[in-house]
Parts: sequence; structure tokens; C-alpha cells
Amino acid sequence: MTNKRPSVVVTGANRGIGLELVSQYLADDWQVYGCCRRPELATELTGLAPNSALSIHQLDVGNPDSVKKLALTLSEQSIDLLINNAGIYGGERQSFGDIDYAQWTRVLEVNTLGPYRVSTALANQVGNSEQRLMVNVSSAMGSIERYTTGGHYIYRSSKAALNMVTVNLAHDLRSRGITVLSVHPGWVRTDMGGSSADISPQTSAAGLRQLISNATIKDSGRFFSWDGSALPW
Amino acid sequence: MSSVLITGASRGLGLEFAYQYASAGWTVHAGVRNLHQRSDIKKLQHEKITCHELDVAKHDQILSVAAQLAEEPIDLLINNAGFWLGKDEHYGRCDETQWMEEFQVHLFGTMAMCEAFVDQVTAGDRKLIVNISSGNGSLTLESGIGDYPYNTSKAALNLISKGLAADLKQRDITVVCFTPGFVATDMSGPDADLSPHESVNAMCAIIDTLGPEQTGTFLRYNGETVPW
Repeated sequence: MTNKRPSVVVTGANRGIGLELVSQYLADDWQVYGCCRRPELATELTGLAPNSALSIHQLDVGNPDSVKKLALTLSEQSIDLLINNAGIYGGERQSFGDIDYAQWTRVLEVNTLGPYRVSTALANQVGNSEQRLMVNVSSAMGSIERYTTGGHYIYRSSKAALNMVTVNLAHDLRSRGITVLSVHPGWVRTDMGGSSADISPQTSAAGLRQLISNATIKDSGRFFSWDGSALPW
Repeated sequence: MSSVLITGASRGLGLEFAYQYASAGWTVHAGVRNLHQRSDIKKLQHEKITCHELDVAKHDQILSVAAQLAEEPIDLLINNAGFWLGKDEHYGRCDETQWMEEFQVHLFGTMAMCEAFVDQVTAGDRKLIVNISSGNGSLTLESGIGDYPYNTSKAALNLISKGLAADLKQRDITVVCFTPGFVATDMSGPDADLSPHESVNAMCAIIDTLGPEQTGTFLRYNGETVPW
């Protein structure tokens, strides 16, 4: 046993839920690797950096070379928890008859392939840690069961596909003792969720941390809401 | 006289759909990627079948066929075109370019076909859209687990099928997805459970019975409901 503090990698750490997760894990005395596309513009994240437990890394999960570079930088670290939080919505043209296919490509690259890239690139570091957890920040909007209205095709399909990445990673990483979850962070007051959303980033992140800390390998490959309840595919 | 438009009609399930509907007297529009590949075309030589050059990854080709068929009601649109990469779909081996190509064909291709042909389907008597998915697209079944590009693109296809069912309800269009079973085609290989004839014959019998009550469902070739 070591008395080393646990460590977490958070992608999309510059704002919203990612930033709040960084802040709460720091407060809980974790070693935090905060990743974002443009660290030079991430003033709120860099504002937390005087805390020596936080290091900030440039990462565009939509870019395979950027992911490889991060994996190289972190090659000697053990990572207890990887939170694939980086995600984009994909703009307004997501309705039948007015689909923006270039945006759809970009959203799948970031929301679906991105978590696959980061998870495979850091699987050894997670597999060598104590807690061995990977969490994909999905959305209830990616639940096929609950989708009854039409529209929002780009974002929703990227999250259904991400849920399938979770199911497949859970299967492929089980032998290494790694637990992989999809989580719904709630409808959160962020740049993406808007100001009229249900819950604050603080409430969402606290709920997510609680459900992550309760997760065991038996939960691997499942889909949970921020309040710990199970969601249907 | 009923009419059907089928993508990926040069082989496997698509070819069998074309053949069975033509034999039943339907007007068949067969979308094939390469009109000049002799073997493809030969199998589609039937007085009821018209071939169209149609690679669903090429939206200009979709729009061009839609313009040619602008005045033609389509009773049934079968989005069948698809492919699978075998072991190159597995953990750590996925080629990301090919992964995106599967999204382009299975997901974007289906959506673009629906967008381009929605008026023709609305003008048809049956008003049916059938998307050929896969048990691999079920998050619950975990069949064929490990094929990342194929499984993710089929799960995403299932999601948009559910959305299309909702969006096209006002036009009385029924949208379903099918898992055709494990069929002996070029894609699955000879060890599969069903012949293309058996699978397509069963699906055609179910398609015959489809109406608005079934819209937004995921069905096995024999009509059983498949969990998402």
C-alpha cells in the first residue's frame, strides 16, 4: 500500500462540469490532471493552478496526435480515475431536413471517438492504479428508450454511440479490473445547458463524485444518472 | 403497383430484397455503388428492376437519384447499404478513418436518404422506411461485442430511427429498424445461421404487416422486438 493521493484525469476541464470536477477533486486532496484544448485561454482553470496538486495539459480529444502526446506525458503516472468529459453540442442545424453533416462528423470525432482514444491511450496507467475507473460523460439525450420527440440528431446520436463505446470498453477492459461507466450529468447550468437548466455544476459534480466512489466492477458497462439512479439504453 | 427503393442492392441482403420484391411484381429501384461492375448488374437483370448509381456516402449521388425519381411515389425505402471490417474493428486496432466511414454509410447515408426521399415516401401508399441495423447495435444484447465502428454506428442508426419515427409521424410514415439475423453474406461469411433468402423472406412478411403502431421499433427478422 502507498499513501499516495489518488489521481484523476479530467478532459474538457476549462469550464462547466469539467472545471467543477477539477475544483472538487482538488478540495478532496486528489492529484488532478486537467486537460483542455486551449490552456492559455482557460483562466478559471489556471486560476486553480497555484495548487501544486493540479497540472494542466493541452488536449484536443478530436485529434489523435494530441491524445498520443498526452499519453506520452503521463506515461509514468498511475491514474485512478479517467473522466472523459470533453464534449460539444454541434450547433443548431440538427433537425430533419436541415442536418449539418460536417458538424455531425466533428461531433462524433469529439464525443464518440474522443473518449475511445483517450481511454485506450491511458488504459495502462488506469490499469496500474488502485481504483481503475473510467467514466464517460454521456447524456440522457443519448438514451434511445427515452427519445420520443425527434430532432437533436447530431448530439443524441453521438451520445448513443458513446454509450456503445462504454459497453465495449467495459467488456474489453474487464480482465484488467477496469470499471467503465456512462453517466448523465443532469441538465446543468453551463454554457451548453443554458441558464434555465435544473441544477448547478456544483450539485452535478458532487452527485457524480458520489456515484463514482460507489462504483464497482459489477457496475461496469452501465449507464447512471448524476443522482445514482440507473438509466435505460 | 407498389415500388421499393433499396440501397446496397448489388449483393447480400440488398440483392435478395431486390430479387424478392421484383419477383412479387413490385417496381424496384436498386441503388448500387458501381454500375459498371459486370457481376453486380447481371444479378439485377430483371424487367422490374432499375439500377441507379448510388453510393450513400456521396450526397450528390443521393440528390441526383432523388431528382430523377422526383415524380415517383416510393412505397418502401430500405436503407440497407453497410459494411463491416472484421478484426480491424477491435480494441486498439480500429482505424479511425474507417470508423468515420462506417458512420458516413450507416448513419449519415440513412439520414441523407430519408431527407432526400421523404416526399416520394409520403406520396407512396405504404409510407414505410426500413433501416437495416444489427443485433450488434443493441446496447443490451452485447452481441458481437468488441466491433467498435460497426456497433457504435448501428447504435447511432437505431437512435436516429427512433427520432425519424417521431419526426415523420405527421406524414404518416412508419420507420422501423431490423436486425436481419446472422446471415451468410459476403460480410458475415459462410458459417452464418440463415441464408439471405430465409432472412429477407421473413423480413418481407413482417414488412407487409407494418403500420403506424410499429413505428420507432427495433425488430428481429422474424418480427420479435429487440431491446435497445
